[in-house]
Amino acid sequence: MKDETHKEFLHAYDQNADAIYRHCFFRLFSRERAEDAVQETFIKAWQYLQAGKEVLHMRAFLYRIATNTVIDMVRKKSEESLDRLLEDGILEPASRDHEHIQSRVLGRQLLEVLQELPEPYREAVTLRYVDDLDPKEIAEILDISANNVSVRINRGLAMLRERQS
Amino acid sequence: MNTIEKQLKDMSRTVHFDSTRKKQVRDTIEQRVLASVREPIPARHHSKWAFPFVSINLSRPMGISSVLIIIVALTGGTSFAAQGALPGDILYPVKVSINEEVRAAVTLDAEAKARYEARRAEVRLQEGAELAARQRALAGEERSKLEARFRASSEAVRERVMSLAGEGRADVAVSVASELEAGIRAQEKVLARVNADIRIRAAAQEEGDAALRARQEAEAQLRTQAQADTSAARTSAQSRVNMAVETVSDVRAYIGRQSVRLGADATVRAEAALDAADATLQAAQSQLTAEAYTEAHVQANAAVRAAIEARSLVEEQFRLEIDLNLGGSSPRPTPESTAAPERMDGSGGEVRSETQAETDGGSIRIEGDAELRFGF
Repeated sequence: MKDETHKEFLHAYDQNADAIYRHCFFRLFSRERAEDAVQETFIKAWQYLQAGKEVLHMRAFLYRIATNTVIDMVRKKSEESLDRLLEDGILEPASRDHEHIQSRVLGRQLLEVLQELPEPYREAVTLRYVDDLDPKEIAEILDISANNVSVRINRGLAMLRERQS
Repeated sequence: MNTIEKQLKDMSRTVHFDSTRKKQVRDTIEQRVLASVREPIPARHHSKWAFPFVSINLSRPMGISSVLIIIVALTGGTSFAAQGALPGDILYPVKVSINEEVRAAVTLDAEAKARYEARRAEVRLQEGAELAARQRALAGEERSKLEARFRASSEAVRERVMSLAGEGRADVAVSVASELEAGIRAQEKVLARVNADIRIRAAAQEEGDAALRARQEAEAQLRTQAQADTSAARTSAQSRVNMAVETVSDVRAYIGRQSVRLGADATVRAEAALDAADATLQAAQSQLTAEAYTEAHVQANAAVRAAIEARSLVEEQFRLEIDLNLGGSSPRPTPESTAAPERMDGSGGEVRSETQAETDGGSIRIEGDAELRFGF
């Protein structure tokens, strides 16, 4: 039975590591730090389980730990500049044609605007459209109501459109 | 979907967790998981994520796995400290006989076991390289054990490859054999460059050749199986090509990020190796289009091997922290060694050492500075 728990936990890693990585990356803007955050997230999750505590929804649980881990890491280090994005290759175009270059420029602009949003709206929009989570999952991660999530998303999008135009 | 939402989603899709790094993080987490096993712990109910209750009946004989798990549980801190141990270190037996055995014991899937053994084989060679890089002598007995463990792991992988192929999983067998071969080949080059113990280098060369033969045999089985089930062969080949595309892309991105640390010349050489991998990948895609699924699979594996090897070489360069004169300044003039270690295969790269080599009948000790030109 113990082997099953190990296996299931590692399966949870296989299933969720990519998503958790993206979640961390779009808050840390550093591949190396995102990798560290992923590792720390899963180790903390295991320690929680090892203490005999119960987890009903693993995915939401992992996101919550990852968010807290990222907050701790950001507090330890000053805010990263968006120039790190190019350095880390986030906006490397698959080809060098105009369309990709243009989308890189737009992507950079969008990230700049996203970072300017107040934290509750930025977090809700990022969880919805970057992490691709549904409002119910977001509600569980943020420990607020699904209705509140929808309000934050809509207000966040409105702010983004306003600032982009 | 509105433009903003689409832009956000498109932006999200540009970010990927590097597959090699993902695996490395997984390995680290798995080690922590195994080392922290405790028994017994009262069970909670309802959630499958509750830590289970397990009892040990000491009146009954326990399997070796259970004993090892208990030992690791009781010595959790020690097992962590052992991970970086090298032959001759006090904790080295903990690393190979406990940590790795526990890990092997709880790895249930045949494929996972095979891949784990391939990793163990590579780690043995890494240990040999690190000892040489640190200019630590490898005494006769320790060297023999290191060689024996390496060969045992390599042989275990080959046996599992045969078994997998025999079970109709030739595609997995080829992949595992490729992984073993790529890991050994990369380490062969590193061992040559750090002038590692000659017997370890010989073992690496022999086992690398054996891994190649195992891969070729598995590829032959793959052809046979493809003829019997074309649909499965197509799916498998497509999957392998897709994985190869991602792997080569990830390694290229990794090399790009390390370019400052590597230096211009080494970066160019690494990228040239990846360009060759890309060419092989294009051949794989052409084969796929032409419905030559086995050949597509084989070529995709070749591209993955090349990418893995390129990345391994860069990682070893950093891991061993060898002061390499990569491009840029000219090498320091050094006299030729009067007893330079025999080069195993005349592979590329130059080694000039201001060394004195002495043998004690069972090992070679090299003292002094070694300057290495690292190349692909």
